[in-house]
Amino acid sequence: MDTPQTIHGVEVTLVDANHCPGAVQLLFRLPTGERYVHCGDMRFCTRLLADPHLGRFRGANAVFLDTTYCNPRFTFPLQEEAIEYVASTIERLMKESAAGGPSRAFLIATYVIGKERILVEVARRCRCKILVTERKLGVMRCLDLPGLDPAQMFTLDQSESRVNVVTMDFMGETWPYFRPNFVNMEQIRTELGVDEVHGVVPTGWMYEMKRKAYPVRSKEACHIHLVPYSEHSSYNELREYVRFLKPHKVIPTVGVHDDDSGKKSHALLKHFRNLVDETASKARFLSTFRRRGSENSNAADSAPGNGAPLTSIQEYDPVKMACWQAGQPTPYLHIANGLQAMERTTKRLRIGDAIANIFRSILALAPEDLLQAAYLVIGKLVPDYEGLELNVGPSIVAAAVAEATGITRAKLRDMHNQLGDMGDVAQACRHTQMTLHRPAPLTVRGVYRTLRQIASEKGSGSSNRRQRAILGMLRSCRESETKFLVRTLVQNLRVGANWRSVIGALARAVVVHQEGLALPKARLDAAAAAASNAFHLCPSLDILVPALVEGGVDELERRCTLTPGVPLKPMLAKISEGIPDVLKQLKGEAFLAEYKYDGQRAQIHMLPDRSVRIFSRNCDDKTTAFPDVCEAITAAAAAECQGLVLDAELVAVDRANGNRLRAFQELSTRARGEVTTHQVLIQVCVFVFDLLYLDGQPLVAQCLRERRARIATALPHLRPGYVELATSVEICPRPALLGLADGVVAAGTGTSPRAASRPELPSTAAPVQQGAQQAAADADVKAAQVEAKVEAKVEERLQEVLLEAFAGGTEGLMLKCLDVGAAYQPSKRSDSWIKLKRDYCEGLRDSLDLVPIGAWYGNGRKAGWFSPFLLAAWDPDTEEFQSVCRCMSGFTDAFYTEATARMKARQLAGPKPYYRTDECPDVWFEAAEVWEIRGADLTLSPVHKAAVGHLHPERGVSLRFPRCIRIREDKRPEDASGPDVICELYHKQTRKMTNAAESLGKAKAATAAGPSLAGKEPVAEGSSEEDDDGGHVEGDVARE
Amino acid sequence: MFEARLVQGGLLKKVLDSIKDLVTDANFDCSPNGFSLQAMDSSHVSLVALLLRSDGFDHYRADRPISMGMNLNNMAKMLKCAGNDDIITMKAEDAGDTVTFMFESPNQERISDFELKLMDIDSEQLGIPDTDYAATVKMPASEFQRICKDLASIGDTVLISVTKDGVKFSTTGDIGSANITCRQNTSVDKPEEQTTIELNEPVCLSFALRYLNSFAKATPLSHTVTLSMSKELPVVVEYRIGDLGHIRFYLAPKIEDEEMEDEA
Repeated sequence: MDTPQTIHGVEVTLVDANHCPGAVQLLFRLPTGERYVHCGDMRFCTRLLADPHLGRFRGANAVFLDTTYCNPRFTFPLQEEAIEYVASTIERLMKESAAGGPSRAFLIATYVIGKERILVEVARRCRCKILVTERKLGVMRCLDLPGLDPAQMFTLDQSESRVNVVTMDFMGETWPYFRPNFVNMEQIRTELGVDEVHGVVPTGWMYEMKRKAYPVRSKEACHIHLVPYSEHSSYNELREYVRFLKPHKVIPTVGVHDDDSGKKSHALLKHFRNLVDETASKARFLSTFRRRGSENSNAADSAPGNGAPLTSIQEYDPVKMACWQAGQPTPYLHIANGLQAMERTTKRLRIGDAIANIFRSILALAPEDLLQAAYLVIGKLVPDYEGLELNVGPSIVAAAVAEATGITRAKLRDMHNQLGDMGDVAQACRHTQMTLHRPAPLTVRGVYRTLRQIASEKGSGSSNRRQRAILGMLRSCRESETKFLVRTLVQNLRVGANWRSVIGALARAVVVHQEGLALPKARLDAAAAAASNAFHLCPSLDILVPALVEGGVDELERRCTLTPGVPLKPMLAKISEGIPDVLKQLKGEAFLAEYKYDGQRAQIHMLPDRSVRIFSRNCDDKTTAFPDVCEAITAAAAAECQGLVLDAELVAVDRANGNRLRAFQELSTRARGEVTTHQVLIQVCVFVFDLLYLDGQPLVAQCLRERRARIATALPHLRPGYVELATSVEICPRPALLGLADGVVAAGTGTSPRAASRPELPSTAAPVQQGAQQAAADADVKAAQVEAKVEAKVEERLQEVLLEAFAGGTEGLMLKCLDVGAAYQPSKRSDSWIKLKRDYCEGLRDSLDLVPIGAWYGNGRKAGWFSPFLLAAWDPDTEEFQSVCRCMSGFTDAFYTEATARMKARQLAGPKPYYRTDECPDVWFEAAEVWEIRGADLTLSPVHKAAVGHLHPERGVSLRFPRCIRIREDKRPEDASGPDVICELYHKQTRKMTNAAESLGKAKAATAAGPSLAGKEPVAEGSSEEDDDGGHVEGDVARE
Repeated sequence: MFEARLVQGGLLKKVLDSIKDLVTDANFDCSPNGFSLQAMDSSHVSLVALLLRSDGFDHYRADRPISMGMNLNNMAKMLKCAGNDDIITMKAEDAGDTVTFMFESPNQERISDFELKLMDIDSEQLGIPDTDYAATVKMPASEFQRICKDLASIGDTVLISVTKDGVKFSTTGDIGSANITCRQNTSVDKPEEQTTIELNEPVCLSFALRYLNSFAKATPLSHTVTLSMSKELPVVVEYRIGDLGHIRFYLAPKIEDEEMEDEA
């Protein structure tokens, strides 16, 4: 036992088989070096894997396997669990009896030898002797089992015990499935004179196992407990055993007798197909199919990819837990394992830790791969602003997946509709094509390089070349690599890794790597914050990663600064719910009320060589789409300017018509791609509102007042209709506290003609001034009153400016702190910028009742549901359902599930002839129910067709930002909103703008005449008036 | 110094046409034994092994073994400029970075030189084992080409089963299925029209038709094709190139059974 013996030149080793006592596995080593394992009857348990001798037989030529339970339906619990169950059941029943329950006798079925561990445990737990036959006792005496003391535990005397050991077939036949024999039991019951007999049959031959772990068969007073205890290995255990040994071949020893054709044995072998060493099974041929040079190429293969980055930073060992060794390139598997781990959790912190752990291993083993790895974790190739796209459509990926896996496109499509994610689909597909030779494992560098190459493919045949490159990578994929590679290709990783989480994790990983694990959490958080700030100023991993690796976190500030040409994430504004809310949020600091133009946010960079680049809100390079803007900026900038970065809004204007602002929708009709100046049809004006960098100096840390002041220096040659300053008014709500005597200070700071300062309201200043004096002289109560008054005044002033802003054709106002907390905070939705828009103030109070007529298949989280839905209005005149919008908000998960089920039942092969829309949803439905939908505003749309012909000959009305409120059970599809309702709502909202201008006039008149505080009233009247007014004012419609 | 002159220059053109779609870049090895190439396709499913023996050339000189990495498409572009009857001579310096193709028209009226830049290719050279196969089928190359072409229009995988009576090619696709059986016929007069089967054990293997069709591009090189198969092993599709050498394609089989739950 456990010592190799040589018999006739063959080395034989016996090791434990965990079967009945005395059972062993035989390990043979032939003089030729061939190794064979005959496991005999064996119950696998993890303990066996620790055996050093068995370990030497990994990769043996063949394993003669105990295939008693070689079928997936045989799954049974560990022996320990089964024993525990038997012992505790008997213990419980005995206690019941002792406590006055029915008297009971127990029978345990065993073979002559085996299952001793059950008896031992029962004797120990129940502290009772067990009745055995003499022969069994003799057997037990021969055994040398831990904790076994036959004299103490067993008896031959019937009167000493209620627990009898009986032969296996005493209570019924066990093979091939259990058929109880209650006659024998009843006999025993009578003999012993007890009320109940409980039998325990430990066996693995249990079909009943499927649902219930421990079934009980009963007949009158006889109960048989079937216990899935076996001394043979279960199906899964067999697989694990084979997986461990990875033999070249498996030879079944049980269940293949009288099998002439070899069919049964073949069927058994199929279960181990993936586990045996296939390449070795083709030994004669493929052993010579070996690479000439690098024999070690499989080293990365053999290292167990345990991939456990989903542990806390403290517990993760970056070297031991990695799936490769120092000096080798980082395998892509490392990233895939990490992403896999992240996918399993939704907790931000754990995702952050997982990413940091990925990077730590790379820092420790292959630091030169860190940059590419960081890109791959986010699923990007370059900084966003460089705009390099993979240009891989879903169809190319699908074609490559189909080819790699041999699955038909139709099947693939079905799977995609079901799983909703191409990566999951690819992972689920089994590869049907063998390869001659296993391709080298994917490396981080290799994958990154191939992706770059795919992105840069151009010209004819490029999509073919892309597909080939993808196919090559897919063929080399191991484990979860397929899933994440495909997700990277379709640009949707779905693991909760974004720039922010990756940057923070990078910094933490670097700090831990450089300074060790014993760091306070605050240090890590500070590092993450520093990296995050650096990234906002300089959103380029190409600069950030080397800076981090070479200089650590402290180096970031010096190396990652704002540079013209590298866009930073724009600062964002909070939303507000109206003027009082805004004032509360601004906490009484001086602020700037700036028109919120309805255009496209643009960050305009002028490089030292005076070339201009324009970036969108998402840092996409839009320079080529706006050549006219580039020219305008060059013209406006100071001649000696050495580079600047502006934050601005691009707005469509009508230069022929007094530079009148045009709607956002018109700007969006501009060509998106590359245009030349003379191709520009929609003229655009730049409304500059911030300056972030001037002549080598980043200004982001300066306060807004300072930055605004520098704009004049930077852009001395403003030109109306081309480059203007955003119109703004400065408002200071706390004159008393600031010691300013002139109350509400309001001054037009804009230099454009549009922003010409209008006469201030002289009457407002006086009472406030008085109030201030009183407050100074009097008690706090009065001061509070004054403040209230001031607030009312500010509110009134703000209302006025807001209405002016609406009248000027803008969306509303941006309110920005001028002095306190007024630095430019890239990418932050800061408290110091607040937007005041009509949507938030008034919104579209009325809702529309619309009918779902189609939908798209949901992606990502919404996979398996329909989302978005295509909603339509009913036109009773033309008897058409006309589409209004796609709606994907306002739904709960439960709603999605139900709606999807309901709609599936009403699915149509195609649209009905009376569905009018230019949208092409994936599925069409029978119009059957009505949903109440609310949205922000109504616009004219080229695709949606509601009320077509009423407002515009071809265009219909669409609802922006729709959300579902509820299902209108009371309405039929024909009761849905019609063109009349839609037109009325449309007119109402345009009227608001014109009415706002009118009421502004009224308000001014009122303030001039009456007492100042009354100034608020006319405005309120004005707004209520416009809602009640029935007349149609067509002013803005004409503009369309 | 490497120099090889082939009077039947057309052969080289045909060789290249048959492999350039399978492999993009490859190393040609020029040794005293001959001019050879071995390369796998990018997905490691198939392998092409070409050997043109030195004694098959009209003049052959390879002072020491050299390896020339070429983009096969570019090489094909140059060889396209040679006439079918032209005499082709290849020349390369031992440490040079180019190879020269010289084309001479049969009547020596036109002589052209093309110089192709060589490239460094990280080749994965494999040793190809000599094995006894369970079944060897020899059949007219054009017949094999036709079968592959016909079946590819029905399905994408072909099941080749060899028994002592004949060889059966079957496929299944969305529109239906197809079976083509070629019987052993040794009675035909011309040896190149015979179908012969040497069988130790019946074999049945599935292959992707796409690759077989690509192999069949070598049909102009030879009248007959030999398919050698063993259980679970790659098939060898061999075309002999006169007495000059051979071109062999190896293709890994597809995994047949679909019943098992996916574990991979």
